[in-house]
Amino acid sequence: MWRVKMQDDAAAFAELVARWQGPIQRLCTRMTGDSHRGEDLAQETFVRLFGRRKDYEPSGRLSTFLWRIALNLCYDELRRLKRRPESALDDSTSEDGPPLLVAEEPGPDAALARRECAEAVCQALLRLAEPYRAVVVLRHYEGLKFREIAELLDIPEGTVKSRMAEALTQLGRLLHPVLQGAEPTVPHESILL
Amino acid sequence: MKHPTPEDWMTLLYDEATVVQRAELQAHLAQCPVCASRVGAWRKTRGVLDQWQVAAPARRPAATPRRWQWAVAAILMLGVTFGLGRWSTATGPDGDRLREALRAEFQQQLDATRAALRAEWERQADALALAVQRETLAETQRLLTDYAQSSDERRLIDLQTLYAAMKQLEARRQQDQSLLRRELETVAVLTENSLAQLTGTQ
Repeated sequence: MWRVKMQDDAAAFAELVARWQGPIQRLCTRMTGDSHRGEDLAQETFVRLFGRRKDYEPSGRLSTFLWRIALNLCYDELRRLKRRPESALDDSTSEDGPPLLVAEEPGPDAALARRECAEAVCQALLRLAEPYRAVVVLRHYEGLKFREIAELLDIPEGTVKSRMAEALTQLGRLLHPVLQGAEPTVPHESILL
Repeated sequence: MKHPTPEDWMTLLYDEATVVQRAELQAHLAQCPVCASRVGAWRKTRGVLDQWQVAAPARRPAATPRRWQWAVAAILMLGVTFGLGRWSTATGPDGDRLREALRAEFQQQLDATRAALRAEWERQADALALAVQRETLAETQRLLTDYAQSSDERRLIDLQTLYAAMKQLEARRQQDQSLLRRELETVAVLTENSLAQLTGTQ
């Protein structure tokens, strides 16, 4: 990043994109529930990163800088989507197909069941309030430490942990049918915060 | 029995607890059915979360082609046009006419590309000029503010210096005046004494 900042080194920036594109895209996809939107947001993240390369302080962690840009873009996008209810999050999956990847199963029934389970998880996550969703995505899926998330979100570490606990409790409630092995039926009314 | 907090359980659940912490939490878990049930539920939920894996989506065409894509398209079109021209010269009976038609088309596309590029350059130049203008204006305002501020500060310092000098002069004047007065008084006393002696001798 230092080379990018000081020398506008395109090759170094390409390396950086190659290293971080996957995690950033996954974060954006999980935050918005739409893989194509996640892809666009990831691209936008790198555009912003390049545009703000002079703001980068080498004393800080690049990952924190990058995650923060991506997360802010996700929040902006989610706010924009809320203002335009005709393109709600639920529609995006039906249009382009859900952003799901499930492991191959021998039989079509098992594959279908796993797909439904993945879909239920996706929908349940989307129903979490954004601060909780961000913590779940960063800790559970991206494997950041609680301390790193606290630094990234600029909140105390204890708050991150309590949000994680609350998020898991809410997800357990939302995914109760899946956990019981029944048909996943995620309630549609907003019941969280 | 004092139960650990949800925050404590999260450190255990996500392998961030220290060895001592872990041992304490596991010991508590072994003897507290309430916490065991709670942590068990969280563990199950965690397990289900792993069912959703995000795949890197296949690349899709961008909604609006970028400038370089236009350039590639123009080059391809030129290549095809050139190839067709060569082919028609060699094989077709109406080679000249076809070549003429293709040349016109080529010229038209070249003009369109040139116009598009010119428009883009002009747009960028305008944007740059506007940005420079705004930057200059902001810089001028900043300099003026700085100048006004420093000018005020200088005036204040001048006034303070002047006041101090005047105060010093006044003090010296008063000192001189009292000295003069004392000297005059001495002269007066001496004169009076002299006059008294003169009167006495006569």
